[in-house]
Amino acid sequence: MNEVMISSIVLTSFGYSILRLSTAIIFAALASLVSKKAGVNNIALEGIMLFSALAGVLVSAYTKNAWFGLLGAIVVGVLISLLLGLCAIHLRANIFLSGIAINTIGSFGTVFIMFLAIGDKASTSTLQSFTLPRVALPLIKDIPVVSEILSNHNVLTYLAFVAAVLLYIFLYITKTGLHLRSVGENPVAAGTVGINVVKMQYLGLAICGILCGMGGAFMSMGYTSWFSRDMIAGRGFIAIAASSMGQNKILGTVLSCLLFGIADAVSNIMQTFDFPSDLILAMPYVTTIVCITVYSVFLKNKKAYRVAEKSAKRRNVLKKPTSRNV
Amino acid sequence: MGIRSFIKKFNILRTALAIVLSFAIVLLIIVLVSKEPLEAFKNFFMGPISSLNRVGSLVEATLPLIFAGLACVVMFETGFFTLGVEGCFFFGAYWAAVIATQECMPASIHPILALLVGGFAGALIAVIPTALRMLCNVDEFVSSLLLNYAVLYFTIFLLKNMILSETAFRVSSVEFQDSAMLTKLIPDTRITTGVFIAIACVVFIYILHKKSKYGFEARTTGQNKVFAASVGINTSRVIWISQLLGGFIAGIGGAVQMLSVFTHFNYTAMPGYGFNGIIVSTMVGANPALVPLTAIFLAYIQTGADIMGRMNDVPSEIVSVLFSVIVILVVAKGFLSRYEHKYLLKLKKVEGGSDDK
Repeated sequence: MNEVMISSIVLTSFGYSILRLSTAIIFAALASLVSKKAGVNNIALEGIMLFSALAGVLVSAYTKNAWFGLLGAIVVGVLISLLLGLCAIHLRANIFLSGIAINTIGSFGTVFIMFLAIGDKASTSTLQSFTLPRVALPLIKDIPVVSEILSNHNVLTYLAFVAAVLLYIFLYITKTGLHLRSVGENPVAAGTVGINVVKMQYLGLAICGILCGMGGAFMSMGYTSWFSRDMIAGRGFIAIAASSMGQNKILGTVLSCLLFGIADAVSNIMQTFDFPSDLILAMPYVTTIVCITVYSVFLKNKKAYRVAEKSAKRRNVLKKPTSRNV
Repeated sequence: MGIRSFIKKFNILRTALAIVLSFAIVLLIIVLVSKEPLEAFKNFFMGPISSLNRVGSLVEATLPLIFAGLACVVMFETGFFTLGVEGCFFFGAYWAAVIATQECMPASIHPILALLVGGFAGALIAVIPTALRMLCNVDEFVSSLLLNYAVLYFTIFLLKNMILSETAFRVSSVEFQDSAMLTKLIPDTRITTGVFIAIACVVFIYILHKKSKYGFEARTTGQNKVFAASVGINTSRVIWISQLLGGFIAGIGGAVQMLSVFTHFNYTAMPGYGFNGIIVSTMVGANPALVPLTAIFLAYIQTGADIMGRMNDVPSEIVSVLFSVIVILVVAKGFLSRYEHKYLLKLKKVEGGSDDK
C-alpha cells in the first residue's frame, strides 16, 4: 500500500516537472518556428532570452510588480529581436553570424548590466524581485491525480500552450499569417504579388521576440526567482532542434518540446539514484543530438523513397523528364 | 582604378570603419558608466604594453586565438558551418592535461606526446558533427552546438574520475609534470615555444590553402558544392579532411594553452575560444596569413579590457559588445553598400566611356 502511494507521488511529481521543464523550451521553439516561417532563421534565441530574463528581474524589482516585469521582459525581447532584424535584413549581415554575435552580447552583456545595476557578477539573488503567480485551474483542480500534474503551474506554463494555439490561428487562419508564411517560402514570389516582404520579416521577428521574452521571463520569474549568469544554459539551441524536429509544425514542435521535458525530468530522477551528476547535465544535449539524428535519417529515407517513386513513375510513363521533376 | 581593386580597397576601408565605429560605441559606454573615464581609457589602450608581465599576458591571449581562428578558417573553407571548434579546443586541452600529469619515460618527447594526443582528441570531437552530416544529413550547426555542451559535461565527468586532485579547493586536476611543460622563451613570463608551434601551423595552413591541390579543391567546394562535385572533386573527402584538420589544430591549441599557461587543468566552463575563432575567421576572410595579425589585435583589446576591469570600475565583459559589433559590421554586406554602389556605377561609366573610343 505504502509503495503504491510513493510511486504515485513520484509519478505525479514527474508529470508535473515535465510541464515545468518544457515551458521555456516551448516558448523558444515556437519563437524559432515563427521566425523560420518568416524566412529569417533566428538562432539568437539564447541571447534574447537572457536579456529578457534579466529585464524581467530588474523591472519587477524596481516596480515591485511581477506583471510589469513580464512586460519589461517582452519589450526587451522584441527590441533585441528587431536589432537582429536590423543587422540581418537592413545591413544584410549573415543571419547566423549576427545570431552568434547577439548570443555573445547576451551572455556577457547581461553580466555587464547586472554588475552595473547591483554590483554582482554571479546572480541577482540579493535583489528582492518578484515571481509570476501560480494558477489553480478551475475544474481540473478537483480531480485527484490529474490535478497534481496539470494544476498549480506558473501562469506562463499555461500561456505557453495558449501561445501555441494563438500562433496556429495566426499562421494558418489569418491573412497576415498566410502572407508571413509565403514570405518564408519564397520571398521573391511574395514580393511580386504585392506583399511587403521586409515588413513581414520584421513582424515574424517581433512575434519571435514576444515569445522569447515570455520564455526568458519564465526562467527568472517562475522557474527560479533570480537571474544568474548564462541561466538559459542552451535551452535556446535545444529549442531550435525541437522546432526542426517538429518539422516546423506547431503540434510537432510542442510534442518534441515535451519530449525534451521528459528527458530533463528523467535526468532529475536519476540524480536521486546516485548517477554521476555531470553525465546527467550532459543528457539533454545528447538526447537532442540523438533525436535530430533519428529524425534526419527518417527524413532522408522518406526523400529517397519519394525520388525513387517519382523516377519509377517517369520510367513507366516514358515521358521526357522535365527539369521540374529532377 | 579597376573595379576589382576598388572592391578590395573598399572592403579594407569597410573593415577599418567597422572597427572604428565599434570602438566609438564602446568608448561611449565607458564614458556613460565610468566615474573615471580617462583613467579607464588609458588602461584600456596602453595597458597591454605597459610592462613585460602584461606583454606576456598579451601573447598568452593571442595564441589560443591564433589556433582557434586558424581552425575556423580551415573548417569554414569548405562551406561547412560548424561551431565545434569550442569543443575540440576543450577536449584537446583535457587530453593534453591527462598526458601531462603522467610520468613519461624519455622526458624529451613528453610535450610532443601531449600535443599530439591533444590534437587527436580535438579531431575526434570534429568527427561527430561531420559523420552525422555526411551519413545522416543532420544539420552540422545545431549538432556541433549541442555537442559542445555535451563535451563540456562529459569532460568534467572524466576529470572527476581520472585525474582529480584530492587536495585542491575547487575541481581541478593534479599538477602537471615539469617535463611536460613547453620551454619558456622569456623567463618570468608565460611566453613559451608554443609561439613557434602557432607560427608553424599558420605557415602550414597557408601553404596548404594557397599552393596545394587540396586548397583549390576545398575552396571550390566551399564556393559551390554542386559545381565541385560535377568537375570531379570528391567533396565528401575534402570536407572530411578539412574538419579533421580543423579539429586537430583546435586540439593542439588547447594543448598549447595547457602546457604553457596552466599548471593543472581547472576549466569548469567553456573558455569561449570557439566564438573568438569565428570572429578571427570572419575578419580575415579565408586568408590564413592574416590570422596572427587579427589575433594580436583582438587579444590586445581583450587584455586591455581585462586590465581596465581590474583597475577601474568598468567590467571587462564590455569587450564582448565590441567583438560582436565588429563581427556584425564586417559581415554586413549592406553596411555602406549605397556608397559602394554609387562609386561602382561611376567607375563603370568611366570604363564604358573608354571602351567607346
